[in-house]
Amino acid sequence: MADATTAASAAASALPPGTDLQRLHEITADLRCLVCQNQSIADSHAGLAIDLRNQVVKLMGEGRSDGEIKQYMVDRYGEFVLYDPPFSVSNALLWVGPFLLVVVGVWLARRAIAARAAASPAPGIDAARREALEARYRDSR
Amino acid sequence: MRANLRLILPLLVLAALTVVFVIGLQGDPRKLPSVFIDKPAPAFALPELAEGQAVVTPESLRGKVWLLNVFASWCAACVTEHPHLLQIARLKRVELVGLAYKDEPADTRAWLQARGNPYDRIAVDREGLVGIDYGVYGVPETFVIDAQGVIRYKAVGPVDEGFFRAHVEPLLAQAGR
Repeated sequence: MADATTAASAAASALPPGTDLQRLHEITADLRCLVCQNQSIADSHAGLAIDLRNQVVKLMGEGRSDGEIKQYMVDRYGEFVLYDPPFSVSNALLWVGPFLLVVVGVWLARRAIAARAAASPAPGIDAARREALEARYRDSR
Repeated sequence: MRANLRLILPLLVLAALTVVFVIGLQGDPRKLPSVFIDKPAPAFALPELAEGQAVVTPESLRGKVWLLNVFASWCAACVTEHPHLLQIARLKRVELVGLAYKDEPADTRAWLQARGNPYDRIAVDREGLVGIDYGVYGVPETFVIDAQGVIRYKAVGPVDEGFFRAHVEPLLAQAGR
Protein backbone atom coordinates (compact mmCIF):
# COMPACT_ATOMS: atom_id res chain seq x y z
CA MET A 1 0.00 0.00 0.00
CA ALA A 2 1.14 3.52 -0.72
CA ASP A 3 0.86 4.66 2.86
CA ALA A 4 1.00 8.25 4.01
CA THR A 5 4.66 8.06 5.01
CA THR A 6 6.04 7.40 1.55
CA ALA A 7 7.53 10.35 -0.20
CA ALA A 8 5.80 9.24 -3.39
CA SER A 9 2.38 9.98 -2.04
CA ALA A 10 3.62 13.05 -0.20
CA ALA A 11 4.49 14.48 -3.58
CA ALA A 12 1.24 13.22 -5.07
CA SER A 13 -0.21 16.71 -5.31
CA ALA A 14 2.38 17.50 -7.98
CA LEU A 15 1.56 14.42 -10.05
CA PRO A 16 -0.55 14.52 -13.18
CA PRO A 17 -4.14 13.43 -12.49
CA GLY A 18 -4.84 9.78 -13.05
CA THR A 19 -1.36 8.63 -12.05
CA ASP A 20 -1.47 5.10 -10.68
CA LEU A 21 0.07 5.74 -7.24
CA GLN A 22 0.11 2.09 -6.31
CA ARG A 23 2.11 1.23 -9.43
CA LEU A 24 4.41 4.23 -8.98
CA HIS A 25 5.15 3.10 -5.46
CA GLU A 26 5.80 -0.49 -6.52
CA ILE A 27 8.27 0.55 -9.22
CA THR A 28 10.12 3.14 -7.18
CA ALA A 29 10.32 0.94 -4.08
CA ASP A 30 12.49 -1.43 -6.12
CA LEU A 31 14.85 1.33 -7.27
CA ARG A 32 17.77 2.33 -5.10
CA CYS A 33 18.41 6.00 -4.45
CA LEU A 34 21.90 6.74 -5.79
CA VAL A 35 22.59 9.57 -3.38
CA CYS A 36 21.36 7.90 -0.20
CA GLN A 37 22.15 4.32 -0.97
CA ASN A 38 20.16 2.68 1.80
CA GLN A 39 16.88 4.18 0.70
CA SER A 40 14.69 3.43 -2.26
CA ILE A 41 13.59 6.12 -4.66
CA ALA A 42 10.11 5.76 -3.17
CA ASP A 43 11.36 6.70 0.32
CA SER A 44 14.00 9.30 -0.43
CA HIS A 45 13.58 13.04 -0.45
CA ALA A 46 16.94 13.63 -2.15
CA GLY A 47 16.79 15.88 -5.20
CA LEU A 48 17.91 13.14 -7.59
CA ALA A 49 15.39 10.67 -6.16
CA ILE A 50 12.59 13.16 -6.75
CA ASP A 51 13.81 13.72 -10.32
CA LEU A 52 13.93 9.99 -10.98
CA ARG A 53 10.47 9.53 -9.49
CA ASN A 54 9.17 12.21 -11.83
CA GLN A 55 10.89 10.41 -14.67
CA VAL A 56 9.09 7.19 -13.70
CA VAL A 57 5.78 9.09 -13.72
CA LYS A 58 6.60 10.43 -17.17
CA LEU A 59 7.50 6.99 -18.52
CA MET A 60 4.32 5.55 -17.00
CA GLY A 61 2.39 8.28 -18.78
CA GLU A 62 4.02 7.21 -22.03
CA GLY A 63 2.62 3.74 -21.47
CA ARG A 64 5.93 1.99 -20.79
CA SER A 65 5.87 -1.33 -18.96
CA ASP A 66 7.45 -1.85 -15.52
CA GLY A 67 10.27 -3.79 -17.17
CA GLU A 68 10.96 -1.01 -19.65
CA ILE A 69 11.02 1.59 -16.89
CA LYS A 70 13.46 -0.45 -14.84
CA GLN A 71 15.59 -1.02 -17.92
CA TYR A 72 15.62 2.75 -18.48
CA MET A 73 17.17 3.17 -15.03
CA VAL A 74 19.60 0.27 -15.48
CA ASP A 75 20.76 1.74 -18.80
CA ARG A 76 21.75 4.92 -16.94
CA TYR A 77 22.80 3.84 -13.49
CA GLY A 78 23.66 0.17 -13.87
CA GLU A 79 22.17 -2.86 -12.15
CA PHE A 80 23.09 -1.25 -8.86
CA VAL A 81 19.81 0.71 -8.94
CA LEU A 82 17.79 -2.49 -8.71
CA TYR A 83 17.17 -3.86 -5.24
CA ASP A 84 16.45 -7.22 -6.82
CA PRO A 85 18.94 -7.56 -9.68
CA PRO A 86 18.34 -10.35 -12.18
CA PHE A 87 20.60 -13.40 -12.18
CA SER A 88 23.53 -12.88 -14.54
CA VAL A 89 27.03 -14.20 -15.14
CA SER A 90 28.61 -11.32 -13.23
CA ASN A 91 26.54 -11.85 -10.08
CA ALA A 92 26.12 -15.62 -10.34
CA LEU A 93 28.64 -16.19 -7.54
CA LEU A 94 26.62 -13.99 -5.18
CA TRP A 95 23.44 -15.93 -5.84
CA VAL A 96 24.97 -19.41 -5.91
CA GLY A 97 27.91 -18.88 -3.53
CA PRO A 98 26.11 -19.57 -0.23
CA PHE A 99 24.61 -22.82 -1.51
CA LEU A 100 27.97 -23.80 -2.91
CA LEU A 101 29.57 -23.19 0.49
CA VAL A 102 26.95 -25.37 2.21
CA VAL A 103 27.54 -28.20 -0.25
CA VAL A 104 31.32 -27.96 0.14
CA GLY A 105 30.97 -27.78 3.94
CA VAL A 106 28.76 -30.87 4.11
CA TRP A 107 31.13 -32.73 1.83
CA LEU A 108 34.18 -31.79 3.96
CA ALA A 109 32.38 -32.70 7.19
CA ARG A 110 31.30 -36.10 5.88
CA ARG A 111 34.80 -36.79 4.67
CA ALA A 112 36.30 -35.87 8.04
CA ILE A 113 33.78 -38.00 9.94
CA ALA A 114 34.37 -40.97 7.67
CA ALA A 115 38.14 -40.64 8.04
CA ARG A 116 37.90 -40.49 11.81
CA ALA A 117 35.60 -43.51 11.94
CA ALA A 118 37.99 -45.51 9.77
CA ALA A 119 41.05 -44.53 11.81
CA SER A 120 39.69 -45.44 15.20
CA PRO A 121 37.02 -48.11 15.44
CA ALA A 122 34.81 -47.71 18.49
CA PRO A 123 36.99 -48.79 21.39
CA GLY A 124 35.67 -51.94 23.00
CA ILE A 125 35.89 -52.37 26.74
CA ASP A 126 36.35 -55.68 28.43
CA ALA A 127 34.36 -56.81 31.43
CA ALA A 128 37.27 -56.63 33.90
CA ARG A 129 38.08 -53.03 33.00
CA ARG A 130 34.42 -52.09 33.18
CA GLU A 131 34.17 -53.61 36.64
CA ALA A 132 37.28 -51.73 37.78
CA LEU A 133 35.99 -48.41 36.48
CA GLU A 134 32.58 -48.87 38.08
CA ALA A 135 34.18 -49.76 41.39
CA ARG A 136 36.27 -46.61 41.25
CA TYR A 137 33.16 -44.58 40.48
CA ARG A 138 31.31 -46.02 43.46
CA ASP A 139 34.26 -45.35 45.77
CA SER A 140 34.54 -41.76 44.72
CA ARG A 141 30.99 -40.96 45.86
CA MET B 1 53.40 -32.23 8.99
CA ARG B 2 49.81 -32.96 8.03
CA ALA B 3 48.64 -32.13 11.53
CA ASN B 4 50.57 -28.87 11.37
CA LEU B 5 48.87 -27.93 8.16
CA ARG B 6 45.53 -28.67 9.74
CA LEU B 7 46.28 -26.37 12.62
CA ILE B 8 47.35 -23.42 10.54
CA LEU B 9 44.74 -23.86 7.81
CA PRO B 10 42.06 -21.87 9.67
CA LEU B 11 44.61 -19.12 10.22
CA LEU B 12 45.45 -19.08 6.52
CA VAL B 13 41.75 -18.87 5.64
CA LEU B 14 41.33 -16.04 8.14
CA ALA B 15 44.33 -14.23 6.68
CA ALA B 16 42.95 -14.61 3.16
CA LEU B 17 39.54 -13.29 4.22
CA THR B 18 41.18 -10.38 6.02
CA VAL B 19 43.01 -9.43 2.85
CA VAL B 20 39.78 -9.65 0.84
CA PHE B 21 37.86 -7.50 3.33
CA VAL B 22 40.61 -4.91 3.69
CA ILE B 23 40.73 -4.53 -0.09
CA GLY B 24 36.94 -4.34 -0.12
CA LEU B 25 36.96 -1.54 2.44
CA GLN B 26 39.40 0.58 0.42
CA GLY B 27 36.83 1.40 -2.26
CA ASP B 28 34.35 4.20 -1.82
CA PRO B 29 30.91 2.57 -1.97
CA ARG B 30 29.56 5.81 -3.41
CA LYS B 31 31.70 5.36 -6.51
CA LEU B 32 29.76 3.13 -8.83
CA PRO B 33 31.08 1.57 -12.00
CA SER B 34 29.61 3.62 -14.80
CA VAL B 35 27.61 1.76 -17.40
CA PHE B 36 28.66 4.36 -19.95
CA ILE B 37 32.31 3.42 -20.36
CA ASP B 38 32.97 2.59 -24.04
CA LYS B 39 29.43 3.59 -24.96
CA PRO B 40 28.58 6.54 -27.21
CA ALA B 41 27.88 9.77 -25.35
CA PRO B 42 24.09 10.21 -25.18
CA ALA B 43 22.80 12.94 -27.47
CA PHE B 44 21.43 16.18 -26.10
CA ALA B 45 20.75 19.70 -27.29
CA LEU B 46 20.95 22.29 -24.54
CA PRO B 47 21.10 26.08 -24.57
CA GLU B 48 24.45 27.77 -24.04
CA LEU B 49 24.84 29.72 -20.83
CA ALA B 50 26.11 32.70 -22.81
CA GLU B 51 23.16 34.24 -24.55
CA GLY B 52 23.05 34.29 -28.32
CA GLN B 53 25.19 31.18 -28.69
CA ALA B 54 24.21 28.04 -30.55
CA VAL B 55 22.86 25.07 -28.61
CA VAL B 56 25.43 22.63 -27.30
CA THR B 57 25.34 19.11 -28.75
CA PRO B 58 27.83 16.23 -28.48
CA GLU B 59 27.49 15.86 -32.25
CA SER B 60 29.11 19.26 -32.80
CA LEU B 61 32.19 18.05 -30.90
CA ARG B 62 32.86 15.03 -33.12
CA GLY B 63 36.49 14.67 -34.06
CA LYS B 64 37.72 16.25 -30.85
CA VAL B 65 38.64 14.76 -27.53
CA TRP B 66 36.46 16.62 -25.04
CA LEU B 67 35.51 16.68 -21.40
CA LEU B 68 32.00 17.03 -20.07
CA ASN B 69 32.22 18.41 -16.56
CA VAL B 70 28.98 18.34 -14.57
CA PHE B 71 29.01 21.21 -12.10
CA ALA B 72 26.75 23.62 -10.25
CA SER B 73 27.07 26.76 -8.18
CA TRP B 74 25.48 24.91 -5.23
CA CYS B 75 28.08 22.14 -5.36
CA ALA B 76 30.70 22.35 -2.63
CA ALA B 77 33.12 19.83 -4.12
CA CYS B 78 33.09 21.77 -7.40
CA VAL B 79 35.06 24.48 -5.64
CA THR B 80 37.73 21.89 -4.81
CA GLU B 81 38.19 20.79 -8.39
CA HIS B 82 37.89 24.24 -9.93
CA PRO B 83 41.62 25.11 -9.89
CA HIS B 84 42.37 21.83 -11.69
CA LEU B 85 39.83 22.66 -14.36
CA LEU B 86 41.38 26.09 -14.82
CA GLN B 87 44.71 24.37 -15.23
CA ILE B 88 43.31 22.01 -17.86
CA ALA B 89 41.81 25.02 -19.65
CA ARG B 90 45.21 26.74 -19.72
CA LEU B 91 46.72 23.74 -21.51
CA LYS B 92 44.27 24.31 -24.40
CA ARG B 93 44.56 20.71 -25.44
CA VAL B 94 40.96 19.56 -25.03
CA GLU B 95 37.57 21.10 -25.41
CA LEU B 96 36.18 21.58 -21.90
CA VAL B 97 32.41 21.58 -21.84
CA GLY B 98 30.53 22.40 -18.66
CA LEU B 99 27.11 21.02 -17.85
CA ALA B 100 25.46 23.44 -15.44
CA TYR B 101 23.38 20.88 -13.57
CA LYS B 102 20.12 21.94 -11.90
CA ASP B 103 21.36 25.45 -11.43
CA GLU B 104 19.93 28.90 -12.02
CA PRO B 105 21.81 30.48 -14.95
CA ALA B 106 22.26 33.67 -12.93
CA ASP B 107 23.86 31.69 -10.08
CA THR B 108 26.10 29.81 -12.50
CA ARG B 109 27.26 33.08 -14.06
CA ALA B 110 28.00 34.66 -10.70
CA TRP B 111 29.88 31.56 -9.54
CA LEU B 112 32.06 31.56 -12.68
CA GLN B 113 32.59 35.30 -12.48
CA ALA B 114 34.00 34.94 -8.99
CA ARG B 115 36.26 31.98 -9.73
CA GLY B 116 37.15 32.22 -13.39
CA ASN B 117 35.58 30.33 -16.28
CA PRO B 118 37.52 27.28 -17.44
CA TYR B 119 34.88 26.16 -19.95
CA ASP B 120 34.90 26.52 -23.71
CA ARG B 121 31.18 25.95 -23.76
CA ILE B 122 28.55 25.62 -21.06
CA ALA B 123 25.32 23.68 -21.55
CA VAL B 124 22.46 24.63 -19.24
CA ASP B 125 20.64 21.60 -17.82
CA ARG B 126 18.17 23.27 -15.49
CA GLU B 127 15.90 20.28 -14.99
CA GLY B 128 18.76 17.80 -14.70
CA LEU B 129 17.27 15.63 -17.44
CA VAL B 130 20.50 15.37 -19.42
CA GLY B 131 22.14 14.52 -16.09
CA ILE B 132 19.77 11.55 -15.81
CA ASP B 133 20.62 10.48 -19.36
CA TYR B 134 24.29 10.50 -18.37
CA GLY B 135 23.62 8.61 -15.13
CA VAL B 136 24.82 11.53 -13.03
CA TYR B 137 24.26 10.94 -9.32
CA GLY B 138 26.86 13.08 -7.61
CA VAL B 139 28.18 16.41 -8.75
CA PRO B 140 30.89 17.01 -9.83
CA GLU B 141 31.33 14.30 -12.42
CA THR B 142 33.60 14.45 -15.44
CA PHE B 143 33.23 12.40 -18.61
CA VAL B 144 36.16 11.94 -20.98
CA ILE B 145 34.88 11.55 -24.54
CA ASP B 146 37.05 10.60 -27.47
CA ALA B 147 37.06 11.88 -31.06
CA GLN B 148 34.55 9.21 -32.07
CA GLY B 149 32.08 10.44 -29.46
CA VAL B 150 32.62 7.45 -27.16
CA ILE B 151 32.81 7.90 -23.38
CA ARG B 152 36.16 6.52 -22.29
CA TYR B 153 36.28 7.44 -18.62
CA LYS B 154 34.11 8.95 -15.95
CA ALA B 155 35.38 10.62 -12.80
CA VAL B 156 32.91 10.84 -9.93
CA GLY B 157 33.77 13.58 -7.47
CA PRO B 158 36.35 16.30 -7.95
CA VAL B 159 39.09 15.73 -10.50
CA ASP B 160 42.57 16.04 -9.08
CA GLU B 161 46.07 16.94 -10.17
CA GLY B 162 46.74 13.62 -11.89
CA PHE B 163 43.43 13.34 -13.73
CA PHE B 164 44.50 14.93 -17.00
CA ARG B 165 47.69 12.93 -17.36
CA ALA B 166 46.08 9.63 -16.39
CA HIS B 167 42.84 9.77 -18.31
CA VAL B 168 43.01 12.42 -21.01
CA GLU B 169 46.58 12.44 -22.31
CA PRO B 170 46.50 8.80 -23.50
CA LEU B 171 43.48 9.65 -25.68
CA LEU B 172 45.20 12.71 -27.07
CA ALA B 173 48.23 10.59 -27.91
CA GLN B 174 45.93 8.11 -29.65
CA ALA B 175 44.31 10.90 -31.64
CA GLY B 176 47.80 12.07 -32.59
CA ARG B 177 47.62 15.54 -31.09
